[in-house]
Amino acid sequence: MSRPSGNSEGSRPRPKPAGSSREILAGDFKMSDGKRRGSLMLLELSGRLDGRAAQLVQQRCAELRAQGMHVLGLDLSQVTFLASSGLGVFLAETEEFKEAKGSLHLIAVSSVVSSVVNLLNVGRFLSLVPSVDDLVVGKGSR
Amino acid sequence: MKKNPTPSMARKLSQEMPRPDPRHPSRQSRTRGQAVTRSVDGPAVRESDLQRHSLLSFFELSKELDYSLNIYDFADRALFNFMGHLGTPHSALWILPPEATGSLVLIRSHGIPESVARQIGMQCIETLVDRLLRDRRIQFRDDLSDIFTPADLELLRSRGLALFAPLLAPDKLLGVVALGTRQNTAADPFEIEVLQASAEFFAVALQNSMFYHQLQESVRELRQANENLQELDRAKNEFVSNMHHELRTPVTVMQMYAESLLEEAVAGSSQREHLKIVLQQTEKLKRMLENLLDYSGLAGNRIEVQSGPGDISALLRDYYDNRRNGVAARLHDFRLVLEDDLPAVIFEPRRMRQVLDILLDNAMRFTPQGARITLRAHRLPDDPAMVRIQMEDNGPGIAADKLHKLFVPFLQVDGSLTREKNGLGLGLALANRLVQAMGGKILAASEIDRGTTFTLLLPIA
Repeated sequence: MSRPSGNSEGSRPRPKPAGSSREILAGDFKMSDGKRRGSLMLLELSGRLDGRAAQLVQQRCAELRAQGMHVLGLDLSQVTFLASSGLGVFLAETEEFKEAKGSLHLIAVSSVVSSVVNLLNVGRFLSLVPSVDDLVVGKGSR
Repeated sequence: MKKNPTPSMARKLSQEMPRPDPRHPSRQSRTRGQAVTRSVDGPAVRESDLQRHSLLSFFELSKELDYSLNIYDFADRALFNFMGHLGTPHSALWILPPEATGSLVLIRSHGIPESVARQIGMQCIETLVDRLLRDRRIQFRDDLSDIFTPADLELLRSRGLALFAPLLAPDKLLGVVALGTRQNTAADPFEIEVLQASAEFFAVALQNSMFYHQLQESVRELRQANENLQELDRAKNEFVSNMHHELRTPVTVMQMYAESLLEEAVAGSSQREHLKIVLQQTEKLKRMLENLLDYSGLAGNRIEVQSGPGDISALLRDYYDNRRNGVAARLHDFRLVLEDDLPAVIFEPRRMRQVLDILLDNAMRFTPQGARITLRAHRLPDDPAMVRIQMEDNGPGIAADKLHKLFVPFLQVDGSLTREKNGLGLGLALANRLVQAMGGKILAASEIDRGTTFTLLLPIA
C-alpha cells in the first residue's frame, strides 16, 4: 500500500533532531542520519525498539523510499529490545521495499532481535545479513 | 479512555515473566532472547516463550494506542503489533462506516497490494460480517468453507491471509482485521486467545478515538458554519448595497422630473397637488433606501485581506496537523506532500486557512469514504514567480462541461457525483474571491473516475 510522504507525520510524535542533522531520538532509542554506500543507504538503530520507535523507523523507511532509495540496510547490532510492533514494521517494510523493486536488509542483528526472529520463525520473510560488507559484496543471506 | 489489560492476565504475565532488573531494563529482554536462541526452526521452541511473547505483544499494544491518534495511525500501530505478535508479513484492516450504509472501507494493508485488499474486502470480508457478529470470535479461513467459495478461499490463500479478527463495539461491528500466520508453525491456542483480547482492546480504543475525532470535527464544523454565516451576511450586505445604488438612480431621476414639472404647474391646480404627492413619495423612497444602507452597515462591505510575505510550508504543515485527524475520522486518507525549501509567499494566514477549509471540505463532500485527498505545494518550474498549492482527490471527478460553473456563487455542480451536497454553493466562489484578493489565482481540473484537483497559484514574496 502506498504511504504518505516524509512530511506527513500528522499527529505522530515528531522526531527529535540531535547531533547530526537527521539523527532521531525517542526515549533511549536512536536512529542515525544514514550513510550511503553505493546504492545502499545504511541506518544504525540502537536502544529499545518499542512501538513508538517502530513508528519512527517506519516513517523513515517511507521517506527514503519516496526519495527513490530502494536498497536500505538497518544495522541492528545495538538494539536492546524488539517489540512486536518493531518486528511488524520490519516485516511490512520488507514487503514495501519488494513492491518498490528494492530490498530491505537487517544487518548484524543483536541476540535480542535474532531470538524474536527465531522464536516466530520469520527469518524466511526477512533478509538477515551478518555485516554490511557481506551485503555490499553481495553475500547477504535471504 | 483506554481499556487496561484484565487483572487475571496481568497476574499470569507477572508469574511467567522474568523479573526486570531496574538498573538494566534491557537485561530482561536479553534473558528472554537467550532462552530461545537454541530453538531455531526446531521442535524445541518452548511454548512458554511464545506465550510470553504473546502477552508482551498485548501489553505493548496497550501502551501504543492513544485516543488522539487518527484511524489510519491506529490501524498502522495495531497491524504492526499483530504482525509482530503472530510473525506474519500479511495484514489488512477494514472499517464499517459509522453510518452503516456503505460497504467496508479499506484503511490499511501490509504485504498485500491495496487493490487486492479492496477486492478481498468486497469479495470475502463482506460475507464474513454476519458470522463475526454472531460468533464474536476470531475466525479461521479454513473453517469457513460454508460461507467462502473455492475462489474466495484461493484468493485468501494466495495472499497469505488465514484468520479474521472482529473489531467489536458492544452493539456493532466496527471493522475486521485479517492476518496471515507464520510459515510451518501453527499459531498456539494461547496466542490466538491473546490476539482475541488484543483485538477487543484495540476495538475499544478505536471507538474512543473515533468518538473523540468526530467530536473535534463537529466543533470545527460549528466554527466553520459560523464563519459561513458571517460570509453570508457580508454577501447579503453586498446585495443590499448593489440594490441601493441601482434603485437610487431612477428614484433621483424621477424626483428631478417631478420637481421640474412642479415648477411649471399652475398654482392651486390638482396637477400641482398630485406632483407634490409624487415628490413626497419619492423622497420617502430615497430615505428608505438610505436607511436600508445604514442598517446594513455597508461602508466596509468589501472582503478585507491583509496579505504579506509568510512561510507557506509552516502554514500548510500546521493546517495539515490540525485537520488530519478529523478528516481521517470521516474515513478519508488525507496526505501532505511538500517540496523542501519553498520560498516565502504573499498571503494572509487566516484567509488562506479559510480557502484550504473550503477546498478540503469540498473534496470530502464529493468523494466516497476511503478516498485519498492530497495537499501538495511546490514551485512551478516554468514560472519562478509563483508557488503552486493543490488539493487533489481521487474521487469520481467532474465533467469538463461543468467545471466552469464551480466558481459561480449559489450554483452547485449537480449530478451523479454527489454523495451528499449540503451547502449554498458559495464556498468555491468565496475561495476564488479570497485567492484573487491575495494576488493569486485558483484553477480547477478534473477527470471522470480519476479525481479533481484545485490549484492555487500564489505569488512569491
